[in-house]
Amino acid sequence: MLAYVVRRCAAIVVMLVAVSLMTYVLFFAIPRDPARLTCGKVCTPELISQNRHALGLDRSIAVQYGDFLKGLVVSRDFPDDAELKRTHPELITHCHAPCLGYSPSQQTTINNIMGRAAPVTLSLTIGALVLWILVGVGLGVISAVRRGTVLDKLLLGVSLIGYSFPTFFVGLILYDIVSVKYGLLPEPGYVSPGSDPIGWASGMLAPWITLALAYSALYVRLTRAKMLDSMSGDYIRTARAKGLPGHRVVLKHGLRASLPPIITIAGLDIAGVLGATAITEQVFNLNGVGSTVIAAVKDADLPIIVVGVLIAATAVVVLNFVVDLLYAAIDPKVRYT
Amino acid sequence: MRLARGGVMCLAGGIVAVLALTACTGKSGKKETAGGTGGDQQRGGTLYLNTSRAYTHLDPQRNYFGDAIEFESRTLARTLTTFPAAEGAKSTEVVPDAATDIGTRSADAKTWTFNLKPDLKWQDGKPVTCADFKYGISRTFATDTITAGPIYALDYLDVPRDDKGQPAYNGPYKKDGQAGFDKSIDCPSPSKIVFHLRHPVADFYQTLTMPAFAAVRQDKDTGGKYDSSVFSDGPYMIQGKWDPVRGGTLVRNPNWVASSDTVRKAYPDKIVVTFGDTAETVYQKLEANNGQQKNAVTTTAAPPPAIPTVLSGQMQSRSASVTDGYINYLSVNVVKVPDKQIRQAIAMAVDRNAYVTAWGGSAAGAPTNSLISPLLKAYTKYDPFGVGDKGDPAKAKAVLQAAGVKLPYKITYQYSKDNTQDKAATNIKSELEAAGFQVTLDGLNPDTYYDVVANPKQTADVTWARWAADYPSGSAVIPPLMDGRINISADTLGNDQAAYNDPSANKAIDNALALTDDAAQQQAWTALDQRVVKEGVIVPMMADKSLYLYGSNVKGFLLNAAFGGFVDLAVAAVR
Repeated sequence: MLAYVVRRCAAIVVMLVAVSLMTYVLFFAIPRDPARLTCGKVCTPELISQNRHALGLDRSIAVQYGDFLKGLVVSRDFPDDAELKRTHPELITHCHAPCLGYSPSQQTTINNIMGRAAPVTLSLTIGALVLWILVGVGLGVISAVRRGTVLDKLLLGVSLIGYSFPTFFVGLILYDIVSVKYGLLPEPGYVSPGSDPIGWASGMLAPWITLALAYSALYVRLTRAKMLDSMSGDYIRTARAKGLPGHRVVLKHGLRASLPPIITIAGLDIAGVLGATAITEQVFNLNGVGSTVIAAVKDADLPIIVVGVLIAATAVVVLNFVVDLLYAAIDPKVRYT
Repeated sequence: MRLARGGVMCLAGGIVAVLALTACTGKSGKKETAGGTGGDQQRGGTLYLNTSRAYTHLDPQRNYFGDAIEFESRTLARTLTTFPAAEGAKSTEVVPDAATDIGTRSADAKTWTFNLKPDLKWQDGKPVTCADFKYGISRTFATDTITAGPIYALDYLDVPRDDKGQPAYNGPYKKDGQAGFDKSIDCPSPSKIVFHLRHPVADFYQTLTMPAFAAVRQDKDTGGKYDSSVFSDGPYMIQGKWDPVRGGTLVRNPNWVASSDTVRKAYPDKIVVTFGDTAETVYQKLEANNGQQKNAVTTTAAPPPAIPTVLSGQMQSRSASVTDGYINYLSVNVVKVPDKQIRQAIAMAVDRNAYVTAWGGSAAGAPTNSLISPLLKAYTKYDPFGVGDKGDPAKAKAVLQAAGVKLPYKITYQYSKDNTQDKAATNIKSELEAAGFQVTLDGLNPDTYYDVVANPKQTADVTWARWAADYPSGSAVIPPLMDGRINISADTLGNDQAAYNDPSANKAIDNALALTDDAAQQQAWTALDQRVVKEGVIVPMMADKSLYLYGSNVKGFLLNAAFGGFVDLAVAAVR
């Protein structure tokens, strides 16, 4: 087991290095010059090349990437200019290790930028997760228990429709029509849950619903299928024969047996959602990781893009790993060597 | 001024159609004339400013987008001269702001002298001095820290040059060459400023309207981080910290002396700025007109889907439109299409009326045949080929045949891809094909559009662009777009997508810039504008308009054309 964990962790590190390196290489392949953006609309070629040098973009990709990796273990200064540090120390931004870099467009460290953006994305993801698990699994169970009834068919039909709507469409409808025009949902926005928990929940409600809708629909169908499977087992018949009350049979024996595959898929979905909240964030004007990275792509701000990509990649590989480990815990048949 | 981000970068003149404030008349109060619009604005209340795109920079020396320039000029940063809160072309008539007049110039227009008004105060009550203006302007020279701003100071000020012709001064942080810079701006007394320019600049008093020439206090300067902590000498100041991504709140600057300011009325007590909603959401909120939205304005123009609603009866009284100074035009690359007749055939074939329709009709713009906005003095109506706005493919075909090339003549048209431009490009294709061309359409990613078309290896025969002048003079249009010497190098065409680098045109530009009489200089720009149009190098298409909606409590809503047609916060009020 230990050897397995070590092996997997090593593989994760290698993979993240590969992803970040690839982001660097791809960034320099796009036809956009960050140095051009540093000078206004009337610009001279001399000024552009001077600023390219100041941004450090005239160095080789390997050197720039090396600096990025180095920053993860030792702290860095921006701009890294000994002369300026002596004459105007107040103009230098110090970035403690692990230093994720410095954004030329936002003039602050990536640690600061992501430190502000991450709570927004986490709030969005976790809230949506709770919502879609409660709604999706709950309705899935009902649908399975009431199999073949009008209610079952209605739930399946509605979930199909919910699953078919793209996030940006649902988001715009909820924001522009439901929230703004008719005021049925609170005005969306993010405030820190620490300072104003009620404001946080009401501000995030519409984004949660948006993000949870498609997933809930999927989980209704998933839970229903798994439940039908487990409810046809012999042990369920035994439980009923023992005279257990109906709800205990469904929840304790039926649902419990259906949960492992649902948890597995939920783990993978969280990872996917963490990397894919961008659309919801854009629609609701939430300054999370996704919208920060989109803005960075427009500003050709490489350091933010790299870290944004790494966050999404880390979420996917780490949660994959966690799910694999959970398998062993949940299912005694699985052993890792 | 043509960054592709849907960005409105700067200003030009403009005709402002400010509609009657029917929703908010009937209140008694002190009558104020707000730049030509009658109004009964009073002090007090909170004005909300919702804008899709965050201001790229609030640091005055880095501020280069029209909406942010207008915002900063009216609230936080006073300049020696500025534009009045007035309608249309009147707004482009420069007035004194921090200075007592619009400057005294030497006969050769190389020395400009200004006196500061008394009672100019920073937000901590200290007086604003010549040294503060000098320090602010010196920041532009720190080109590696104070990035992305206008760089007129580098060109204009008489600072010694290095062997590459660049200023031998690298700004107030590193101070190499400080003594050389110090000679270019004199402070004979704390309230007197003398600029020494290295060549005549007849319209320097216009250049000085830009926040790039505003004062910054040395002890408050935070270098590259100044965006979030701008120290104010205007009627408002930042409450707490400014968030470059989300916006912030401005409150009154208690040390601003109203009598020192003839332009800013500063009616609202507070201005709350919010960035980031999509344009559609900004307009949904304004249309709903609930709660604080009644006190809201925006610098985001109505997106095409919102235009019919905004123009509908119910909203019309809260809407206004303006010619914003932008010109949409096509560049025909003279290296790829060297034959003047072929270029002229392109110019004759296109239908400007159809182009305007594709962009949304008369609310979106008007056909034009000039690279210079109709709001500038250098504009004159022009019909070089006698084909009107509609174009004439038959006549174009005759010219193309006369050029003696094999038909159909193949060309590629590159444009920044979106639904509107797709429609416009399809029209252009069919018009050109009727004139004997064979057109390949190449819609490019808007985010990298200008990088691609400025790349000599990737640019096409015909490319689209948009431009507005930084200040209301032909010198902010013709040299930056058509002077090949400042634009073209081995790996870029700069703003000169046509790759136009004609020695005689360059000579004419030099001659125009050397003219010390402003009126004569504007005539010279008119002649150059007509020259590049007549040669088929530039095919102007449309003078853009923007449409805005505002909340029902807002009074004195004025779109200031000189700043690019954004709401003028000098006179906007919520009471």
